[in-house]
Amino acid sequence: MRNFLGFEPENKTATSINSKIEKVVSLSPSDSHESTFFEKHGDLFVGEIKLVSSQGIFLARSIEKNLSKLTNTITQSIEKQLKSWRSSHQPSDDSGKEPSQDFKKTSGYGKSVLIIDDDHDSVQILELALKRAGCFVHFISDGSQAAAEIAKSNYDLIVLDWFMPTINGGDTLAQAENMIATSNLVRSRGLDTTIPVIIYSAHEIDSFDKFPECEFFTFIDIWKKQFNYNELSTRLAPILNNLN
Amino acid sequence: MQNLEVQMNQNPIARVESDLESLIPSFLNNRKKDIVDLRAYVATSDFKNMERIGHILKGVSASYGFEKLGEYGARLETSAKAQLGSDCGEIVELIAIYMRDVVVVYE
Repeated sequence: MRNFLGFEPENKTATSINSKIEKVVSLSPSDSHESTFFEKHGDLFVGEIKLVSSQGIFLARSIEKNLSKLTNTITQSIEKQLKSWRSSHQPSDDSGKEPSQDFKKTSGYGKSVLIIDDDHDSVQILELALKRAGCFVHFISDGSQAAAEIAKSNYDLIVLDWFMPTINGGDTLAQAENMIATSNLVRSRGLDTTIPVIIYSAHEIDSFDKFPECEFFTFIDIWKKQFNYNELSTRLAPILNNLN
Repeated sequence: MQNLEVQMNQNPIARVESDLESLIPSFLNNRKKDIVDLRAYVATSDFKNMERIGHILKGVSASYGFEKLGEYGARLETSAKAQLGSDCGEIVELIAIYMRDVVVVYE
């Protein structure tokens, strides 16, 4: 854990901060890492704790500006966000129980996948197939929002609808590239490989003749949207197996 | 363009993979909304939105087992792109009839 104090705390303050950090650490998933920041500005006190999973997925963040509140509210806020995150991202074998050992051997177990598509019906089929393969799945319908999400996280795989109404797939990746390059967020988290991207669309495959040059992404497959569920699952398995 | 009279003589069947059963109510509900929207777009000759929905139907319907709906979506997309208002209107009504009569069979 990186603990950064922007000031020299009194003993009582230091004790309070350290106990708070320990409590947040005890709440955190075992594969996550925490970054902390505490600073004093006159009477004001700023404390921030941020959690990020080992896969680079942002988990939770809390900022407080009052030391007395800090002792109570940061952990409550972090715990609430973690519960919310777990409920929406936990891989599911549809049993509602702790994943079985067999399920943990599925091709995509623990992999994080971002689906970018404005069509909710397409997303639902993909999401079902990916979750049954053991993946964490997140989806965003807007390209600009997706670009920001990509820049602050580290997904194992992106499934991208190439033709969307407001911003298309190429522009989405271009925006993400700019954000990553200027923020260094992904690089600071140790990403030394490109993110695999599957392009999919209802348009003919022939129309994908000019992919943009990408520094942070690699195109690994092109899908036509008219797949059936079993074909989709079959096609996904080797891709998920080959992810790092 | 075929006349409406020569369409289905019996209820069309959508053969849906049983894994997708939980998703079907939402899918059918979205198509009902599509039909309402499409009729409004036909009335206002809004070809851009007809093309958009046709494109979506073409892309997603076969995945759910509604192949015929996917074909209608493709035809609607093509006709809307060519701004053939009469054809678009007929296809939208074919879609409405199909969605009214379709029988879903889980396999």
